[in-house]
Amino acid sequence: MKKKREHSRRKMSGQELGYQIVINGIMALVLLACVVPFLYVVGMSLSSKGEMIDRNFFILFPRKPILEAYTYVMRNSGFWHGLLVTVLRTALGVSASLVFPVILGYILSKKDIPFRKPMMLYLLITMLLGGGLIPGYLLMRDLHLLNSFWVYVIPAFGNIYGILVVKMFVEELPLDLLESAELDGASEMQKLVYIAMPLLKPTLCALGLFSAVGQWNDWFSALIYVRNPELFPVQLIIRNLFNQSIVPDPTKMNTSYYATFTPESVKMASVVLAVLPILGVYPFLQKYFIYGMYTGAVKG
Amino acid sequence: MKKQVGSDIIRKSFGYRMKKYRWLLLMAVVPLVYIFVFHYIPIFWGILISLKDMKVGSTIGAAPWVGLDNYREILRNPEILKLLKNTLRISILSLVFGFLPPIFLTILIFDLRSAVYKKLAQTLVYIPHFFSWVIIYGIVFAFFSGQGFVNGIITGLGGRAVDFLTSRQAFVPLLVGSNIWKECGWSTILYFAALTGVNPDLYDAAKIDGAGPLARIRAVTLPAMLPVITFSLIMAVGGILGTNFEQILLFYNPAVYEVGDVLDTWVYRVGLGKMQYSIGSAVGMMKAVVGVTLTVIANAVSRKVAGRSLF
Repeated sequence: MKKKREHSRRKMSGQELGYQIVINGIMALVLLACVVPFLYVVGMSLSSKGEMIDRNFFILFPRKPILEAYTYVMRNSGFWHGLLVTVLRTALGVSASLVFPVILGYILSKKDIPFRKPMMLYLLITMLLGGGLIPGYLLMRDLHLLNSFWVYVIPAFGNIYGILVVKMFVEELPLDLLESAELDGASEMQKLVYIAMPLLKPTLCALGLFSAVGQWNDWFSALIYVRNPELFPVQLIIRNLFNQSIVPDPTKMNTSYYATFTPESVKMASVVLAVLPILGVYPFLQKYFIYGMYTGAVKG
Repeated sequence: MKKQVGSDIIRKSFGYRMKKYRWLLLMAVVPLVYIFVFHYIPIFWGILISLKDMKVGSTIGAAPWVGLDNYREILRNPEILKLLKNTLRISILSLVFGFLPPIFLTILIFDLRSAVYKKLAQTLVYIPHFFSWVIIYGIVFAFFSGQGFVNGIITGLGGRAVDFLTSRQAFVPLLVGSNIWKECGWSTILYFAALTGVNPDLYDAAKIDGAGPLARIRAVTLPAMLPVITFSLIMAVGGILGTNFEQILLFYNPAVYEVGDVLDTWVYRVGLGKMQYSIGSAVGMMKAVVGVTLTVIANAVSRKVAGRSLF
């Protein structure tokens, strides 16, 4: 019986075969829709003015790629400085975002800790209701965080979602593990640091990655809170490139159209440069993202 | 002994528990105070400011009380009605067009035979989720600006170029479409999580019963996904007042304010930008109250209908 079933699994019926052909075909189209936009952006970033005019902006693979747009971005727009700001805020912001989840998540996992219910309610309310843009702005102003690098980092501590996720995970740790440590005379602090923390590593990795993506991609807090261009993260610098007029280097004005770039290719080059780091790390970190999402989704 | 661990724990006295957890409770103080400052103070200020008349330069304390005047003015202002209409139009269209694609895509990937192809598909469709809205705008710009990909095709076919980015007709479709491009793949994870719980025997049984692929989807796959589908649908309805603020802020421009200006962008541009703090806060507060009410109702409905809730 078992053998027969395996056999039937291997050999598809005609109907099944037809279905497989259809879904494989549709899937190929979906994947093209994922990849082609990005290829086009890369193609535009490498195209010269001459080629864009010749081919009517319809370029996936430039015939004579030039790197002028990239040199322009790297030289002129404070791009490197923005990248430095982004890297710094990501590193510090991720660390900040994990502090309260570890402390408060562990504390709230204790079923018999005093004030557990009020504390939970206190957290849940903040997830439902916020003050909105204007009071938030006034708060940052009064805390003297406007125009400061720390406006990227200090709000990152408020990772309420992370607190709830860690709480859920500590609750699911095998109870006897923590109990036997207690019998051995471990204090609550020791149990947190030596038993819970190592077991929470994948959870903290996933939480940290999500907050890293948030930090890396954020431009909005800089738009509201920061006026000093020295503190702009790379995403805001790219966004501003789209609203700026881009003038090519005047000394190169006389060279051939096939050696000069267009404002469009500068914009696209900056997009490519900002995406590359994400594409670079994504394959290695994918499992943590999906782990985080799955656990969040299943228990959610 | 073993069967009910939870009920075996004898509830110790309050004093005992305070003593046992004194260090942990002390540690909790810092995060709790932080949350008060960064989450609760803005809520209180939001309420205060909306009940006062904040003039430029004045402090919240010194500003005179005006009662519900700001709210009255909002309800009278036709501008706000337009914002509300735009907000609802954008989120309803996002819901209508964005809800089914992830479900469809999940089934598509789930039913692929080749494990390698499946893996590749999952890897690729998740990626756009990790791009910032700035990057997504960049890609949309590349395709739809006056000299973009799409216009390359149009002019190549002898048509006249259209600047989609400043077109009122194209604005909402661009928002909805780019949102689907960014999030559709990532949303499948929620549905995949539901499918991991399906007993594979069900598929074998369906096959023995002679069920074809479509019958299999109808009899096994969809029912397994149904609670999650119901849950996401109800929560989406609950969040109907929340538009994607960041996205709209990047995509819109004065040429499309007529259709693109929503409550959030107005609070940003007029409330914050022109320092109309009081009116801006009142709009924010009304939106928050309606939003919370809808979410709480949606949550209760979802708990009842789908057996699944956020809180």
